[in-house]
Amino acid sequence: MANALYDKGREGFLDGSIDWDTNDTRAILIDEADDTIDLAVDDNLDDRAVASRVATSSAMASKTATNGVADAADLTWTAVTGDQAESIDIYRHTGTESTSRLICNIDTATGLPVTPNGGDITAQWDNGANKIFKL
Amino acid sequence: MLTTRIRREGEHVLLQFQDGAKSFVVQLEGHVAVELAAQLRQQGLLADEWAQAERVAQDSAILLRAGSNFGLSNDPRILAEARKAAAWDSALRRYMPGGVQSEECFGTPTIQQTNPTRQ
Repeated sequence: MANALYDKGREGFLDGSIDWDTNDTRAILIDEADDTIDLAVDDNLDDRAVASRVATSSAMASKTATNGVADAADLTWTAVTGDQAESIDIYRHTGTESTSRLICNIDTATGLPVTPNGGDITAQWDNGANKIFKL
Repeated sequence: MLTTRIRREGEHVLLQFQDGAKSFVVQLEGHVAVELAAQLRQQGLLADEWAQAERVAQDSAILLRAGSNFGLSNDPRILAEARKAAAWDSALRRYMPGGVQSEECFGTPTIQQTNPTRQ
């Protein structure tokens, strides 16, 4: 596949249910062996099998949305154990899985897939023009 | 019937238009002829593009619908028509379902892992 927005994430930006730089957004390392990513159908976090969630970050910090380019501070998953992760989901965290809108899936990154060894895993977002993604 | 002949005489290029008994000759210096040829070619291509605007717009619409965001023309009127066709042309909607592909772009993040610290 390729890095892409979920259709419902795209919808969320347009209908105002996702506010990138003010909402609590988090990133999850995903073991795709335990779930199948469906960009057209998956809408909220409850569509992502619990077993596929290797590690969930804390709230992403220092987010910006200038000129439609989504950026944030690099993030760290601490002391990660578990299965190999093939991709990263970014979602809007509401505290309720059925309303936590999936935003995008990133499966093309330097260092993916990653097999946890108990240490920290860091995602350094691209410093080029597109940062995390550009709408 | 108008005929056109181009020939060289010494350091000049002669451009001759003949219509029956009437003849009109333009004498050009070499570098002027070269410049004129370049301008004629450029304007000819633009005229040809405009003559085939409908087909260019349709081909551009196919590219747009397939997610390749580049038009086959620099003319904003043709590109506007292409965008309209990409979104609404009934044949494209039938044979290339799914709408105009999104143009979002992603950066390429780097995932790094550190070794666990010993307790």
